[in-house]
Amino acid sequence: MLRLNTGATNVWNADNPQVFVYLNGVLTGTMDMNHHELLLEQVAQAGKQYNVRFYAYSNYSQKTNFFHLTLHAVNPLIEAVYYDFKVAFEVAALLREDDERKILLYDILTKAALMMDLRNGQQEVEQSICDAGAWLRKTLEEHRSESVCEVYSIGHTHIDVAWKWPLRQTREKAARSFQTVLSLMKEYPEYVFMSSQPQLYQFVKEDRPALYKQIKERVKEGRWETEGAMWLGADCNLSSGESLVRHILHGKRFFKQEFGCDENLVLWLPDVFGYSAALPQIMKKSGVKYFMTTKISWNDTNKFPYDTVYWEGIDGSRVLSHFITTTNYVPYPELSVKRNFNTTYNGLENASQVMGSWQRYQNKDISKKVLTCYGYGDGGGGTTREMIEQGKRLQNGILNLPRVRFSTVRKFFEDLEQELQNKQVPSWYGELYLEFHRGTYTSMGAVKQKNRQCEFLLQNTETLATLASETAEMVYPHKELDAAWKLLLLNQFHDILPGSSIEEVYTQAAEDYQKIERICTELIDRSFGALSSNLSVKPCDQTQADAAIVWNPLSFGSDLVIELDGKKTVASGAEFLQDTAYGTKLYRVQQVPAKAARKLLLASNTDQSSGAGTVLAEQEKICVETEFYSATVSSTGGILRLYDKEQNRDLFAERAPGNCFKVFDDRPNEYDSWNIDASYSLKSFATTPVCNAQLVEDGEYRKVIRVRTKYRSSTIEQNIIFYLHSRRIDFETKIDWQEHQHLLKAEFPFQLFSRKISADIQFGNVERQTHKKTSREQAQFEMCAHKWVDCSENGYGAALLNDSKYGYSAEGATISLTLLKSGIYPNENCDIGHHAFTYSLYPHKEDFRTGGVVQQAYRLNCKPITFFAQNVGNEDCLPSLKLSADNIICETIKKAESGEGVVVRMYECYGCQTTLDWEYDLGECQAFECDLLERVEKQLPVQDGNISCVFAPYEIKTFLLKK
Amino acid sequence: MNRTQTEQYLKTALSALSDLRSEQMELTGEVRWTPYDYGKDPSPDQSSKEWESFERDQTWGGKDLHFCFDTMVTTPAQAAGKN
Ligand SMILES: [Zn+2]
Repeated sequence: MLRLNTGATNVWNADNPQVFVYLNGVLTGTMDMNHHELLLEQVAQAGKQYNVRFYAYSNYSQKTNFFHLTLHAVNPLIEAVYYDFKVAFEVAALLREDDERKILLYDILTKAALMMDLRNGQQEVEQSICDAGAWLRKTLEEHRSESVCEVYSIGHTHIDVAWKWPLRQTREKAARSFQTVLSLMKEYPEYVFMSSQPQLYQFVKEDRPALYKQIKERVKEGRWETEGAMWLGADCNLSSGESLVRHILHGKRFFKQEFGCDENLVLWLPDVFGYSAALPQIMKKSGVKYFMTTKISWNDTNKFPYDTVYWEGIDGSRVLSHFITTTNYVPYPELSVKRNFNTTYNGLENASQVMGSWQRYQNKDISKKVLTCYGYGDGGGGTTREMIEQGKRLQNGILNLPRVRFSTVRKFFEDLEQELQNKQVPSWYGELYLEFHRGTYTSMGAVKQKNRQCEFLLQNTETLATLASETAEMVYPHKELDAAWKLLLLNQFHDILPGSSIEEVYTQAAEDYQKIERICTELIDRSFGALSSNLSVKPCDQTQADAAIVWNPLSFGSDLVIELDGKKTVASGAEFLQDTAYGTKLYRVQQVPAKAARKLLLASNTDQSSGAGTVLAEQEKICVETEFYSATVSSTGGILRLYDKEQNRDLFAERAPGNCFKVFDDRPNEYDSWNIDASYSLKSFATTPVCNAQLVEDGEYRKVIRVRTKYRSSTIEQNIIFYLHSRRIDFETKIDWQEHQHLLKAEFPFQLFSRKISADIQFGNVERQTHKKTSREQAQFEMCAHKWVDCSENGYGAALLNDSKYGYSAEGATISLTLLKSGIYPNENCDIGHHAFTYSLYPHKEDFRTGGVVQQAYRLNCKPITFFAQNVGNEDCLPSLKLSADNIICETIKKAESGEGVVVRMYECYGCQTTLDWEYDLGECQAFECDLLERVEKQLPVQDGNISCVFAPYEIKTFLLKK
Repeated sequence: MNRTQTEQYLKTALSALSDLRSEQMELTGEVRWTPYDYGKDPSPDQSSKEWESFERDQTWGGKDLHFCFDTMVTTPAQAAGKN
């Protein structure tokens, strides 16, 4: 056996040196600080020679490793007794002083020790130790009784797909960790290992086919479990509903196709920073029955009260959830000074953690089974020989103490479900909010913005490609779309999208988003090209164009506003609205049906005069009148007054303006880019104006006020847009941010009577309290929402919409949108540089439902797509989607994964049962209702193209239309 | 013996057992070293400057870096039959 000492014994597992070992040119094993032994041979042969190559990786900034290699001959008989003795001793040492079992075990161990001749170099040593070992085993066996519980144990390693290392290193980490598993499996037939994240297998398949082949063999034997349901451990706060669906679709499909294994049943997300209330329904409708995380135990304020629970989503879907309870055993918990309820997915399978898993379990009344996964992780590494040796002793059982059972994760959940029959299992309604990494809703604004944009872009691309393949001669680009989706999914990994990786990871992510945009742009062009005969146009260069097709990506009919550069004007099909301050022209295309297109005829613009760059007025405060408001804007962008003419009320109080920038010192105690500490709000700094507020557009469609403000070396420029006939007010924002460790928020202290807000999430919305009575509410001082949050009293309210932000705070009726968080670890330049995004204020009558907040948020996020061409006829018709209810949203229209038929996915967004009549004119079709993975559940009647169905509150429905 | 003394005795026995598990043998081959990079198949240039530097400092490491170490191991006669 070879032993390697690199000196890096106190380096965290994520940074430690890691090594591939080749014996005579063949990859045979791996080493790192936790795996410092390599078995050359089960039975050594004298004189046998090995050419040994160590291919080592270092991610530790100092050059302090050394390379001390030693050769050892291991006596397996003595080693076996060593572990027998060690585990029994560790168990005994953990028990309380007054525990009779401790006294008994110490007595047995003392007798065994006295039987051994431990004098090194003595001939009798081996025999005496073996005799003592046999006696110890026999005696422990005699004293064994029924165990208090079973600790289902699975070998595991958590590999962050990117984090403190770039993706190219993850490929090696996966191969190294998987090789470690294969080596251990050779030595230990009882060893069972589970790894989720098909993305990692994909890397290994591409890089190391021989290793991949061995994995397949182990999966076939049932010793290597491919579970987990998702493509990778995705962030579940920020990823869109459709993205989460695709994670499960691609995840399940990969494991089934590659390994021929049963369908995945467990959503395995040990390390994700909060779990959306939309997940239970997504899981249930994707055939995923069980949920596991450990992260929820990382709460900084409230211990999550259950470890086995039915988790219930916004729509009432329930999934059986079990949270791993692995932590060290505490003999005297009543004496513990530190309140610590953390558990780990990097288990050690030792006496303390096996006993601790049971001790920490809060639902002992309903189940005698807990789960632990063991193996070093985060940067991979995994199980060690020592863990398995210990696990084997604990599997035999010591007295009546918790007994290990080597198992798969699926077996654990199936047995747990069985055990819970006729038991009073608690339930938990709503999101699993992680009271810890609250900064991950905001850190790295650029990646969050690109993610949002690409999520919509991919959906629009799919819809257009579906139209082109169903109604014209285009072959549906399954492969290209799959590739683009997988890039998006990859970057939703729980350290990429949340903003908690090193800078290099974001350079790569930016390239990936560009790739997605390139693929989608090309496919959209190809789709319009194919559809051109339906639209009586011929594709051409934009400069040659005399027509434009404007496509409405929304799931409801809407006026569409388009912006053309100064070279073209619209001759027919759209109404001219206004010249902009940037030299472009705005047109309104009236009432384009959902997912349909309208043809505009263009003419060359002979009048090249424009008001670009002209400042029409410049003052410290500018007043604006619209159909709805009398407003006053200050030179810092503050809305000093917003008088609602219809409602006869001011939305903001005097001296408490809306859109007030607040800068906060943001130096969390730990986890810089991840965390915001509650104390951040104690002190804030204001921005100062750079110049007067400027009126830069003053038309019949909109009035635009430009403000420039600064904070230290950073500048914020906003175009504040008031529409003459719309309630929406847009804040087009450009920021050059140069301050590290700051938080920037825009505050809106609404004069509204409300102690709760509604917040947009995947496929629906949730309510959140803004009056912080309980410690649970107090801990939610920063919250996550998608496209909007709304604060409404009876009859009136205001929403904040955004095109790329996710972090909010709310206190009473004051809502702040978190714009930037510029941490310095692990990326020292997080959020430094240029940012451009838009958020909107949308006061409305009634609540978010009647007030049309959902629709406005979609309008802000999902802009019309314009295609330039030459007109050759009068046809301009693409099928439109007709939905009979406002509260049913359709984001997804795609070709079925099977290639046969079109999949249409919708969801109910007001939380009420709704009867929907709908049609999508693709010709005569049969209609089916499916699950999220497109498996048909039932056929639906179609009458004259119309399909009628009933949505339960917040239900997601997937339809398949087949010709 | 009181409880603490028993515990101490058992710890000593465990530590002795741990030491008796294996016997260190002589490693005859020299370790040679060279830096590497992503995508390279390790086939080190054994006369590189980096190797000289390693020989001098006996240390290696750094952020996101690869190294390759080579050696020859011969199983000694007294290890025969063991792990
Ligand atoms: Zn992780």
